[in-house]
Amino acid sequence: MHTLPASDLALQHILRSGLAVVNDEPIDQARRTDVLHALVEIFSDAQRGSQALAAQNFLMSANESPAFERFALFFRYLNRTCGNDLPQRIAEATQVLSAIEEEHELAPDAKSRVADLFQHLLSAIARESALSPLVSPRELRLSF
Amino acid sequence: MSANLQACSFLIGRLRKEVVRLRAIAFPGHDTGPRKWLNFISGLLDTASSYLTSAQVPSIPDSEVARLIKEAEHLGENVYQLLTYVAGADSTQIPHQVVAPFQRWVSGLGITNTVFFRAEHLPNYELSRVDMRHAALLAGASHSLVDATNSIVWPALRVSVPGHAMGLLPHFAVVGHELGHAIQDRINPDLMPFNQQIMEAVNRAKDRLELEAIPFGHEQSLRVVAILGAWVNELKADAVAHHLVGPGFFFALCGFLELAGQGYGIAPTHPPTDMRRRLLFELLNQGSPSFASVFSDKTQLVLTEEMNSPNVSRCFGADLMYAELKQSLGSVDAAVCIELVPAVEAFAPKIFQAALSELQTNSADLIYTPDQFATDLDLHLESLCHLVPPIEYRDGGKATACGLSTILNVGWAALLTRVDRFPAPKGIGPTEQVAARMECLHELLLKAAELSEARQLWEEQ
Repeated sequence: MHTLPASDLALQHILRSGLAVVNDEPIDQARRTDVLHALVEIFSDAQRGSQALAAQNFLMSANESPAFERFALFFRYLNRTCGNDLPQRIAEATQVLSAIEEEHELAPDAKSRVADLFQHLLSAIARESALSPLVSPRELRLSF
Repeated sequence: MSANLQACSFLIGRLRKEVVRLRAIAFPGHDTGPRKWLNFISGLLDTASSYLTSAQVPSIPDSEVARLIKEAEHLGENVYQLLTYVAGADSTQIPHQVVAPFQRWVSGLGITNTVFFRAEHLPNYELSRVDMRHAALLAGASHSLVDATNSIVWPALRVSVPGHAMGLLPHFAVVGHELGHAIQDRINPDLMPFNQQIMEAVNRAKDRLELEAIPFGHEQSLRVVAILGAWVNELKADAVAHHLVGPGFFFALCGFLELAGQGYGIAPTHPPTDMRRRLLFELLNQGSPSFASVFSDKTQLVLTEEMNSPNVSRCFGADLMYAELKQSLGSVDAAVCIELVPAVEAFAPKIFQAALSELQTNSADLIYTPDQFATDLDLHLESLCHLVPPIEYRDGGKATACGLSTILNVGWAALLTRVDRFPAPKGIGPTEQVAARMECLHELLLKAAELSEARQLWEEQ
């Protein structure tokens, strides 16, 4: 699946709005609903991918490509900061986001850990964008 | 107004002009894919413009102004890239005659995604997926962006074919493979009985890497998942194309691979070429009559595995291949690719069977059979040698339009066995005569695609 930078910008906006949601900051109600729905979908897919990998289901990509692609994306962005805790952090975030969507009460600590994860994701996206090289010059020549 | 805001406004304005220019172009076929794509791009530009407008509100803090301009620049750069997505989709690049028949395959396969076809000057067939459904959640997304995002069925699919010199019509049978990728998620073979073989392959890869002191953790497991998934999907797509076009796909794929590098083909994205060819050849020999027996009966030429791809490289032993491959792919991908080959070849028949079941359930009309192949060669091969394109056939007194698979298969049979019987053009040398005859065949097949489509449209009215 091609990922284009515009998708990253949309993801950044979703994460920023998600931060407002988990930090109980004011946000337009319709946007809150849409963003939460998207976040639950994204994190649930990533969690399924992470569980399949833990179970050594190497056929996951063939059977559940969205789950694999989402987990691979999270792994790319968060492996450096979360390391082996990544599956646990994804599972925790999925649970918290689903609970918020269903308007259940949550401990502030649970929300702040999700906010922390969002911040890590935003930093990683910004870092990757800043480190992207310019398009390389193309050369055609005979090589011997 | 700051210099960067001015520069960004200028970029957005130029991009809008480019969209206006593209809107004036005729895109072939009945589909509205390129138009929807241009609407999506316009929506992104409207959103970028709204960021620039907000950035000029005097009460906004400087940091917010900087962010808005930066994001508008970001969208402008993206739009510039996204415009390349429709490059080559107009009639000057892709033979317009084939687009509508391809779209019949799309609808016949039950593909509901937004699709468009384009040609590019590269030896490459490709189905590219773009999923930007979340673009409507950009902060301050314009109404036009929300509407355009919602009108596209994501992921949007773009089928690329080689343009110009490499765009010989019979080779376009490979499009069947690309459309197979579009339905690959509906093909669900039960591969669990092969899990043990897969685990053994992964363990052998681990052993290879251990010798080089390379650990096998999450990152390496993800490579296994990615490579295995890509290979399974390639075989699903090969299977769909085989059931859609029969021998036409075998000839097209092998002929294309012969022209496009003749390498081993083995890579994280594709299983080895010789394995794919072997598997397809086995399929052509299955059943009674088989495609291979029909071909031999009707053309008096025995169908062999290497018929039109004698120079495609065959993989050699695992150790030697690993030593070669790790130079280009790196140790991890090379070890995984090499060790997966036997497991994947073992379960490939399950994939072909699952693809057939899927097509029998949802697209039975599109399945190309040996009987149909025999009828097609009986009715059209000789006529084509007399410059009569395969446009229609008599079915109990009623004229029926030929399908694209018929045209492609008759085309391949003529290309491989009858080119010397086409009328010789005058005034050119013997080498050029072969090329001229093949060009004549190409033109006849394009004519067949165009007129059979016209006939079908007329029948549908």
